[in-house]
Amino acid sequence: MTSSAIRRDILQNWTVVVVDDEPDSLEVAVRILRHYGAEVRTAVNGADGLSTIRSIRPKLVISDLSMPEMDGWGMLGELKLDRTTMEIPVIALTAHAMVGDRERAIMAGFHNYLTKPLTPATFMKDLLVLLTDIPAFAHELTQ
Amino acid sequence: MATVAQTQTQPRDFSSLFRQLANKITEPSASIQDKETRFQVRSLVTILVFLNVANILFAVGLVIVDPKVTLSSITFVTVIALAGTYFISRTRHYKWAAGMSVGIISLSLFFLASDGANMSVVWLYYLVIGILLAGLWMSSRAASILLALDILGVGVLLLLQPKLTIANILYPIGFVGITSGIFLFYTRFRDILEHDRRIQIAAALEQTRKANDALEGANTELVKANNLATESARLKSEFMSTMSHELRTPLNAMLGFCGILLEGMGGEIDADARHMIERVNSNSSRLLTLINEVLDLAKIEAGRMELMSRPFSPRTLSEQWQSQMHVLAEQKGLTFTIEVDSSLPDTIYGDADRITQIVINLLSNAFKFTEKGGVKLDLKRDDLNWIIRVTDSGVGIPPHAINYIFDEFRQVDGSSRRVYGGTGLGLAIVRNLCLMMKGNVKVSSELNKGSVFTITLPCITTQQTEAALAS
Repeated sequence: MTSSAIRRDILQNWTVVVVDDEPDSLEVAVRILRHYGAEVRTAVNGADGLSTIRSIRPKLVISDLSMPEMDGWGMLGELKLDRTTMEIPVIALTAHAMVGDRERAIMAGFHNYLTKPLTPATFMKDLLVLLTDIPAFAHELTQ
Repeated sequence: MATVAQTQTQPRDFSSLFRQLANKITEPSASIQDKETRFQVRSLVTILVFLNVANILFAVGLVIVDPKVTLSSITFVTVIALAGTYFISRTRHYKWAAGMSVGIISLSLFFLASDGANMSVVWLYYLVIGILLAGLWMSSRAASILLALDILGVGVLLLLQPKLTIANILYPIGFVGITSGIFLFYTRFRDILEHDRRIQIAAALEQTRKANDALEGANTELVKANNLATESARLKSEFMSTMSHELRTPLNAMLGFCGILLEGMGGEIDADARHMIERVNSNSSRLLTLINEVLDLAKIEAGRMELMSRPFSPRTLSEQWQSQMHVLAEQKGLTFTIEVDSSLPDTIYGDADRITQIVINLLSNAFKFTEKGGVKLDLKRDDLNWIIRVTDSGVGIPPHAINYIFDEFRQVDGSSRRVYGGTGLGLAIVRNLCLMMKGNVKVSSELNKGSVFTITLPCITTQQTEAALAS
């Protein structure tokens, strides 16, 4: 499945929160997700992300790990402590070099991880593979 | 060395000659090695020598002073017996000599008394015991005072005698006087030795203290240097991690936006613009690869590359490699086949990410240097190892270059760098990763026929402890 084979509306009616302190990196993710129909909200750090997530209860969260104020680990911890947010899958964005982070991320409770750089050719494909692991989404995404 | 030092520190005058002679005479048996015991034995031998000399002097002096006295057989036996103790004392049976000498002295005193000598005069000889104690255990000054008191005591006792003959006065005074003289000499001699020893000890202590100070100084310097090194290593590591983040972030953004434009997510673009965006994209991609390689190599060389040991399926992994690389094969119109031997276990423990890095590196090279034919990847088990082999039908590696293709920054030649691109770091990383995994990489090649890269890795099929991996 190449990126062009993915349905344009596959993320229709999805609310996604993307958390990243790098504005360019954030914009790339936002543009790709919006291209496939998602409604995207952004946050620039963990604390910001936490309040956004609490107010809109998105279907999915994609978050960078190292950020100022509150990092991705801290934000995940808060989300997992709150009964209203603990079920929301959070996908970590990791850097190429941080091999150890990937293992740690899954141990910590992230649903899975995606490795930067985010490019349209791979990002959506990898994301959909990860999301089909979740039974509630699998049915919806394979329709 | 030792003899040189001796001649330097001991001038050849009377006192040093006497000291050497006394040393020789009172030398304990060589079989006694303990320093303290040797000193005790030497003291004993000194006493015995003194007793022998005194005894002989009195035996002879008696005859000279008093013509009525003749050398009796008892006196003769006493002199011989006492002299014998000296020789016994030079052996390791020195304790016997001590006992014998006390016995002989007591016996001779008994016989002397029974021979008609005045008993009170005979008892004076026992004052010698005081002299012995003084000589053995006191300093030369304290000993002189005690000895003076001793002689004074002899004088007082003599005045109290009812019948005073010349012999009666001379024997005890002479005996005690000579004894005192010899012992004063001994104590003085001993004190000089002790003094020398103290000076030597003080010098040695001073030397030790200086050496200790120097060591402590050096230690402080080392601690400082170590702290500096630790700090510098920490800063370097921090710098590397910041750098790697700072270098990749803008490139990631460039690749992301190029991708968005190329996928048409940013609206329609004309063919010319598309061509230029593709160039930006491929150049960014190359730069990112280069940065990743340099950082990986730096990490390996700094010993900070950590390897995982987790179970993975080599079959699943090879499928991933195929799906990742088949586009490249299609682009160049090359065949790409993967063969997984049935001997290969379903699960192997290792670092799948790093093994993938190695294989993708070799496959990329194979496709890069092959224009016709194709690339083949074989996986099989070989006893305790498993083997990954990448075979291509490309340009091959000239014999002169084959020995250094795994060195950093080396490519076959400068023009190859221009024609084929790449940093020359890929194979260095491959080799380093293989070695870190306790495996190896080998290459064989024929010019214009192709190359074969063979990776051998330990085939670990059960969970291993860290210790087993490290050994």
